Amino acid sequence: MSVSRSPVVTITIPADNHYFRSVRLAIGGLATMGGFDVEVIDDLRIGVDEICTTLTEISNGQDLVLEIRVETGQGIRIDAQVPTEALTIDEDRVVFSRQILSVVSDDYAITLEDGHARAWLERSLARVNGSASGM
Amino acid sequence: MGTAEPYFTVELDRDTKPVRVVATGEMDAATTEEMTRRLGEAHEVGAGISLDLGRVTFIDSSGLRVIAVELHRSQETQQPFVISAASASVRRIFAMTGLDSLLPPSESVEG
Repeated sequence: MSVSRSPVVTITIPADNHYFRSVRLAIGGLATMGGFDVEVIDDLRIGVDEICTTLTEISNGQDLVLEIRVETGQGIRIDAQVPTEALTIDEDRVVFSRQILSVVSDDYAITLEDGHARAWLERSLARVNGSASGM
Repeated sequence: MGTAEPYFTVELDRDTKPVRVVATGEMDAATTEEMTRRLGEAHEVGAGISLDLGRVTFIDSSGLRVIAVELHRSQETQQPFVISAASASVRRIFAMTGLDSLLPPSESVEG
């Protein structure tokens, strides 16, 4: 999947879970532009929600920034980051999130580096046309 | 300009045994406090909980954690806890996380 040259949609929200629903709505619209079917769009809404939840829980209170790249006929990539003072990720807190992200994406990562918590996921359209939901 | 409707509500019927708890809408990190509070109220009745998730249109790991915590507490206090209905969204995320294996089988699960 290649979305590296795709236009970037940037969404900045306060590190407050009341804004996650707006992000889910935005991802739904962008994924529709990308040609995903309804089931995968639901997956992507769950995926971006898990990213927002995970990063917000370890943020230092500053804004969460998401960058979404959609390549029609190719796929979608979501990158997100937030400043943090955390040194480690509490794996017990994110066990469900990791399970969910592993199903709804082709690949994903959650990392801590240089005072920032980062997460990304990718989902290709090809998987939709192939083995589908991964469950 | 009118007031927007809440995107998540929880209703309790304390007259039923077990207490019927009906969640409607989107269960995410912003609504876990309400869900936790309402499940706590139901738990205090002491008659067990029948949780209806048939009208839940979205659920994430935050919502799952609330349910898992209540399930654990019910097991510890030997109170019945069943999910009486589950929407397609709920069934899907339960399957993703294996949490469905923790729940008692229910013929009334619907989508």
